[in-house]
Amino acid sequence: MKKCERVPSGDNEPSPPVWRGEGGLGPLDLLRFRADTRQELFDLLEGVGGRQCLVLDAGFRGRLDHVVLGGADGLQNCGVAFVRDLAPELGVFDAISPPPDRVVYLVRAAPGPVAMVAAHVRAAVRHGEVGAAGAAPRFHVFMVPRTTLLCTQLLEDAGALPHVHVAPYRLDAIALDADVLSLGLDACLLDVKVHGDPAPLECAAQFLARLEQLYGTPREVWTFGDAARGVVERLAHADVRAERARRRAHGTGAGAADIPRLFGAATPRYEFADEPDPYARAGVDALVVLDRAVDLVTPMVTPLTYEALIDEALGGIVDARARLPRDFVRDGDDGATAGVAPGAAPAPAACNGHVEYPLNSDDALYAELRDLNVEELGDRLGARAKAIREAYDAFRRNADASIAEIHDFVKRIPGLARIYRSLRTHVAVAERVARTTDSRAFRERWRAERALLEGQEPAYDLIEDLVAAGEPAPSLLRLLCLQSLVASRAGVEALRAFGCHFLGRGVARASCRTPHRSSGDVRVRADPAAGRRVGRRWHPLGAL
Amino acid sequence: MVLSPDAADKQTIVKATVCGSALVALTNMMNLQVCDDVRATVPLVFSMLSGLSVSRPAIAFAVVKPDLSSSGHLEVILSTNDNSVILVDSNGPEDQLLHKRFQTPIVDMSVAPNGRFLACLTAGGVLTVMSMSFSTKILEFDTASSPPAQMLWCGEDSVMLCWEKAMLLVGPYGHWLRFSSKRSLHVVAEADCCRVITDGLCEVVQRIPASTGLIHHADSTHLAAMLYDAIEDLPSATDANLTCCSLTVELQNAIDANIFSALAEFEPSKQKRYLRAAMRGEKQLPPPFSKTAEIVLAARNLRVLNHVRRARPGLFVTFCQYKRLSPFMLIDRLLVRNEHMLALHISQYLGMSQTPVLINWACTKLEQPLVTCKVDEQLRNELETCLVTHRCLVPYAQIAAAADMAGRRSLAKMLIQRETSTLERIKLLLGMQEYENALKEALRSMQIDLVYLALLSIDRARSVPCPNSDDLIYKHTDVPCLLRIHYRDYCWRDRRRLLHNSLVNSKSPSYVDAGNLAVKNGYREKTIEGRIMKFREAAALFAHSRASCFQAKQTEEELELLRLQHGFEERFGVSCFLGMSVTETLHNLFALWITHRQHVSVLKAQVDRLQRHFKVPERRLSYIKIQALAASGQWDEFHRFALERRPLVGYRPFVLALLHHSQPISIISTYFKLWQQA
Repeated sequence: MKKCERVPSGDNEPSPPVWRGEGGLGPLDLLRFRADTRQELFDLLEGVGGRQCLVLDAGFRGRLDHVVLGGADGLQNCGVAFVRDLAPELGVFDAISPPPDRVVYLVRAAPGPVAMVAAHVRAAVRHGEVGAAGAAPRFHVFMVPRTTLLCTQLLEDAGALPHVHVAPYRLDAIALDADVLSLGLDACLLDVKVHGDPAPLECAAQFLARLEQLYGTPREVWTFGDAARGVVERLAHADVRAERARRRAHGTGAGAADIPRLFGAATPRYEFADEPDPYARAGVDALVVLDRAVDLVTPMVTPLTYEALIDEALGGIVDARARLPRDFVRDGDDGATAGVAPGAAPAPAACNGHVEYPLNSDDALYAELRDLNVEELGDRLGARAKAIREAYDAFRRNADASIAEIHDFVKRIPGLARIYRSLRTHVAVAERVARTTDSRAFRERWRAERALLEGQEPAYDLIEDLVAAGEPAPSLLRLLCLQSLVASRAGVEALRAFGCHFLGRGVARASCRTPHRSSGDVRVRADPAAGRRVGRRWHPLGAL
Repeated sequence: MVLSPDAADKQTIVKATVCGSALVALTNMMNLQVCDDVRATVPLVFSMLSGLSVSRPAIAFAVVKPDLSSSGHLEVILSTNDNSVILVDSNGPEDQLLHKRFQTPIVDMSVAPNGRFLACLTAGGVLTVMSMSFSTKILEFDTASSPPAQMLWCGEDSVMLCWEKAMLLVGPYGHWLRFSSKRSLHVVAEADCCRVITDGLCEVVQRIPASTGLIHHADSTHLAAMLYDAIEDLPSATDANLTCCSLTVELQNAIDANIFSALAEFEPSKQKRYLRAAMRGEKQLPPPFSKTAEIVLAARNLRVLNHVRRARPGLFVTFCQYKRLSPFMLIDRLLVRNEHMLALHISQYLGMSQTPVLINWACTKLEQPLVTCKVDEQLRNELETCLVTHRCLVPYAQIAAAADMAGRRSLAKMLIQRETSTLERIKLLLGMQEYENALKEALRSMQIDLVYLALLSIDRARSVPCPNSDDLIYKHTDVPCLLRIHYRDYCWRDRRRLLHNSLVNSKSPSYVDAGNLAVKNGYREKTIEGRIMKFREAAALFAHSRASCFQAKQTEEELELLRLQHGFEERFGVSCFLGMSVTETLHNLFALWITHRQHVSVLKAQVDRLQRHFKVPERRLSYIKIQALAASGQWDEFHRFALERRPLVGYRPFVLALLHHSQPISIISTYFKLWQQA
């Protein structure tokens, strides 16, 4: 089931070794977004100064790869001497080089990571390493994507706040591809729908406000679902606040900027910038905000496109990277993925015989394959292999080629070699995917899901078989969820009989991993899809 | 002054001086008591050893501020009765051994404002200026009279000596000026001048600035003087003169000199003349070197200075002082003197924020005794009409706070409606303990942080008796959720109790959530008894509402399962049941056949009981049995189960199990044939 059409990028030219595709080719120039995020990080680190130890929250290494060229290790120019993952102990530092004099934390504004930071600070205070009056703060905590009252309160309750400098870093979204931005809010559905926590909505609104500032205010806003409406309402409120701040700043000359901020998100820089009015430069036609709850069925169904199947069968795509076995990407030269990776990204980190392989539209072949049905995959790969072979052969046959022709061909060789390497990898991956899709279990399950969606009776026998085969709980629960979403009332009653299978296992805690791109992703599209118009643009001046 | 504890009982203070924010005192035992920063919350007093004793007492002392001393710390210079000088710093005293340089002891010392020179006055009336390193003598001047009452620096290069009715100003090269007065006078040193105060007058004494001297020197041929003179006589002739001199740099310097002279001048007519001279020069400058901006800035500053130098407000500051003070401080001083109109105009004129002035005006107005008789509405209208005229968004929160302080709560509430920043509004409302309004404001703003700000304040206020805070929280639908999230994630201590209480002890208790919480806590329990207890509690909570009867039933079943598993473990002496699902429990019961031969019938009965109780379908039971028998290697039982009657699940699972456990091909083929036949 396809969620959204992809904008054809259609580039076959060799790519220079810089950020490309991962932001430059889509309908919006996401390179600008990336540069904005990167510059903010540089500014923050420069403000800290000294030799720094950068401590990253879980998963932030992958996210930083999409922000800074070379990831966290590429920050050496900003004074980052060590990079550590957030853990109860930071470990010993290199004995040869001097230890860092500043510790910079990049953590999400959540209780777990912040509590760990507080523990570090408390330990340092106990050992007498900090606390000298007048000294510059040793600990800097940058909360992503904003500071919250509760987290600051947590630091204060732990007695750590006087010793740390707290500031927000708006790493709210990263550009995974030319047309995809990810907010990385994995548990937003759980938070919003089950716990009633509106924090993810606020994050989304904050991000959209920034997007508006960068690319202009959309001419119209469409929302689907309650949560989407909540986001847009918050966005309208933020607009009113920004407008007031602007008027306050303009009305009093130099004022407003010096009003002290006590907590909460930093007022974005653009609010006081002398940029033209965002309403005047609307480069975006429509903003469509979708609530995941509008369609809960799709993530429960087994997908059939190439990209989604890589996610299912090969252990998941995290931050637009898949972990592939080493022999899939074996290559003659050292730059195993240099051709297809966003050029200067570091050589894929290898561990346990696996390598991280970037999957994005930079790779022309992947851009062509990613949304193909698995059935068409083989033909397409074969055709591409044949095309490359023919290009070589045509040149060889042409014995009396002119110098210009030879020159032209030689120029094309790196591009062809890159496509060939990428082709080999994708052939290997496609074989692995095909092994999964050809299996009896996969087909049976897919058929059962299909039958369910077409309104037939749920296949209890299949579920029995899966239980017997020792299917892991998340996969089983996914099927049961699908059944309960589409089944009649009687069907739901029947499902309760499966409850006893999970008795005693604390299923309340077993989380079902939602499949690829289900939450907090923003797809940028060139033309708006037809849809019911339910929201309208709030003009801030009207509400002032 | 508080003596440090070790000195308090025996010593008394004989001399003390204030220097910036530091306070230094000399005791009768010749010890120094120093307080670095008297403005600190807890001023710290420490003693410094001077190395002197009662037999060799100090005559005078001077203090070097930390920002002027070479060490970066506070230093004290003491003169002794044997004509020497001792420098005391954090490393202790150091005698400079100046016995031979002075004939008589030094009776007064003064450090220059730039910290580079020290002026010393001996008992014999000789003024000596030395460098701070005590190595070079810069000036020696014999006053040939009794020592003066005061010795001060006037600017950075001249020393003022002051007797009761006379003053002597000594310049850098030993030239001097004498002033006499019929009245007794007192002199105060300032950054670039001296202020002489008599009972009827306050005068400023200042050395003429170098630029002014350059212009007015009798035989000055400097371009600056030419510019100045050109205003008076023969403008056209000198114009030609100026044009031919194409020395841009010199002309620039000349213009600068005129600008500086204008700024240093006190009389407006003379200021104008200097500025006119500067403009005359500016005309001749080529455009890239234009000095227009400097001239305009100087004119602006002069206008401000002339205004504040008037009889009202009577703030006579020199340009140098104004520059050090900054316009912001000047505005503050004007506000303290209640000169709001002037302050507003100056801030408008200089392009500064007018908000502080407006706020200060409103707050002062509210504090005046006259306004107490006015009605709230009238006062509010008055304030608003005055503030709105200046077309900017005034932060009303501070004004409202002032109104509240003045005891006018209703006026404060009216004013707070005009505040545009929600954060300020909420903070003030919370400060006024208007919790309900604050919470409403926060909810309307849709900012989570603001809601939490209100919520935590209310939550904290709940510990002191506050009758309706619970109503307040549970009246709004979203708020209890947020409070629970706070309890769950951020209250490490007794969060379970807080969470449980918030779920159950409210007006609309949420028993499902409370039950879920109890179940979660049950899984965290280590002991079986604790877990059973928690589950019982959960079942009781679920039973409160009809909507959660499914959960209640499931919890009961879970309890039953736990009890059964506990029984199995005790009976068969194994520990493989607790924490298993029904499927796994059945699997284990089948697997136990091989080790507990004597209990096979009991085990079979238990399987039946489990199946009946939990309504396990036959199909699943067959699967479990096949897998369990194969896994435990009970092949006889396995074959018997397969062949005694046609299995419900077909023969495929048998074949798979045999394959999985690598059984001989012959057996597998038998089953395969059976599968094929079916």
